[in-house]
Amino acid sequence: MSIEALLHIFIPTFNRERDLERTLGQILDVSSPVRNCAITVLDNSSCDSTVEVVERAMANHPNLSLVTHPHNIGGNANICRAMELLDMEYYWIMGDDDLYDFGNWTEVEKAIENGEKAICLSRYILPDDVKGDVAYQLVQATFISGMIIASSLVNDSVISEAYNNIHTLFPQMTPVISHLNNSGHIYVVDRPCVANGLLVLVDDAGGNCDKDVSYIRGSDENQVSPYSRFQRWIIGWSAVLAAIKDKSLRERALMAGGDIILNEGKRKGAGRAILRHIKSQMLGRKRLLPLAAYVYAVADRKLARRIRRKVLCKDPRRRKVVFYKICAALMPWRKAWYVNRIKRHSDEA
Amino acid sequence: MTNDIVENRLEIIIVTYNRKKYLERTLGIFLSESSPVRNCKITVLDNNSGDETEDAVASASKCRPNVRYRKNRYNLGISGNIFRAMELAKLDYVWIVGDDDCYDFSSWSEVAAMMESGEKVICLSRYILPDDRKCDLAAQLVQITFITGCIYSTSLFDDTSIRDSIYNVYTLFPHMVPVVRFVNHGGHIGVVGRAIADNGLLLGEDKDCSYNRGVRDVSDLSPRTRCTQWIVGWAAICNMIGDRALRERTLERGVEVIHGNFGNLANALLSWYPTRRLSMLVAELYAIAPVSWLKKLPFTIKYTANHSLTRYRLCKIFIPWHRERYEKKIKRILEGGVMA
Repeated sequence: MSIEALLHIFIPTFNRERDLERTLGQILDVSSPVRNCAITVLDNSSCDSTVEVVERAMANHPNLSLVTHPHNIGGNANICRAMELLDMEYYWIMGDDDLYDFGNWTEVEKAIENGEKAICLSRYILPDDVKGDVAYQLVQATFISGMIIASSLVNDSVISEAYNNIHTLFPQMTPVISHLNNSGHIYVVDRPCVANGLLVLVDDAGGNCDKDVSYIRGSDENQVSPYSRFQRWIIGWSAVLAAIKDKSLRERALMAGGDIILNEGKRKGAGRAILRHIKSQMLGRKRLLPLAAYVYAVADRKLARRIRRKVLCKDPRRRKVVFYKICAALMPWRKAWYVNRIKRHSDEA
Repeated sequence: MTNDIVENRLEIIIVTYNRKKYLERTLGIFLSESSPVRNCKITVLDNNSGDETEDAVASASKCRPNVRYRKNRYNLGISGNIFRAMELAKLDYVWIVGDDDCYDFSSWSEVAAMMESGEKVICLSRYILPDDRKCDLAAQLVQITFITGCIYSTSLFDDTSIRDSIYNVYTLFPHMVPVVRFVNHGGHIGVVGRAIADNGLLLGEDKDCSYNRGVRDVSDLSPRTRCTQWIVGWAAICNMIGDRALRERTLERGVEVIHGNFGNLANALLSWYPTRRLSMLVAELYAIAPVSWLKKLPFTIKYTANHSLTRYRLCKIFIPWHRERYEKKIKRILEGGVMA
């Protein structure tokens, strides 16, 4: 069966007309093997000329369609929406700003023919030494453009779970995790087909890397709920990992995520990096404690003990009380010191 | 005259899943001659039911152009469906309605008046708002968790609210987010004098009301989804309230309504969450618990949120003993009248 009848491509986008134009150009190019696949652009009610860009491309490509949401529902919810709309046997959710190289496409087609259910097209986290490591494969799978997934993995429980995981920032992981829980595996291609637009543009140095990539892009930062404002990659990652049944894989995947995101992929000292990160974000903010507890829940024994001692068991209120007491005790002395200083200054004048 | 305004400004969205019988009853009430909303735009939002919900809607909406049917391709879960309803709302006011509740439209004119005067959140239900509580904002917020008991102005659903609502689908109360934001900005909730909607659960009919209803494989769900409880989602929502006193009071009202008192909550927590993997659920409560709780419930809240696995295991052995000690302690406190 040809790829056109099998693969449905989704491009969630918000206010990135230039990137979207480039991406559409790459996919619809004459040399692209997927130019005749069904392609749906999911526009999060952008306020720039995204609609015109898509409509211009639609004129020449009847396989392209556009869905505009009435509100900006955020990037993660838009990914859920894509999973809900899919029509074919495989789906591929593409970021709007990534770079594609179809030189190795035959391998992907072969994998689809072989009935692989989760195909990883990207390898920037997976150099040869960790290519076979499921934990690192999972981290790579967080990159939406890098995964082609079989629609048979998506069912009612996966979709409702994806909706429940929008807060973790990784709803796209729920089909993959349910696949792994049912003793499936991820197929990784030899040569990558997709590169993360962010990484490449940063490497170029001088490209447009001042792009806003925050998770709450398009909504008012000061008005969203505290969990949403302070959500971080590693915390969402641990929250989504909680669904993995295999304990050792869960713990290793957390470490792999910490290694890549917080530790520059050094393969060592990931636990310490995670702890440092949580401490800097959560310590002293009791209201954000649950976020730290998400990491605590999936961490291995050693890291869990450290998180408990260094983050969870510190009672910020109590420390504040002590601090105020000390300040109050020192007040008369400070006052005297100030008065003296002001006096001295005025005398000198 | 007033009714014309209501018909043009209010839309009703019924969220439903596999409850044909109750849906028929609800549609019957809404479309009957005596109902003031019979000509409003009514949408049935079906969460991919497996029964004949579609036929039921079709037969009920014969010669009724204002009734429409819409089916999700997958079961999004109840909160996901409520979010979908919020997103679809187009008219000035939206009333998202559960499929199994009961109604009494005798004081509808009050609602129409409130809508005319531009009230943004109208609470239609009073089963936890007796007259002495009517003006208590915390209790009003708890009452509004009942989805049918509230009419929202769609002007509250701006991009930030909508995004935050879908982010909060996991807390079970996505519909509370716009209200909490509104309250944070000094907004005010209008409460009707006589209840219009009542919770169908209070009828005592036997039906499946779990939040995971319709999910094929519950073991596929993450522990956060599988084990979450009303009060935990509620704590996560309360965390959004800016004013600390109100935040803590709202959480306390929720506990009062669902568990009765702290002692019951303590016991419930012990039976739900004995492992590290679920510590985040307890931590959500702990994060906004008032200081007075931490004194009353040191073991439950503080210990389950913070303690090590080894300690848990030890604790598990001692739970019966602990519970006994607790019950004694709580009794003592109750007799002393501190809790009241």
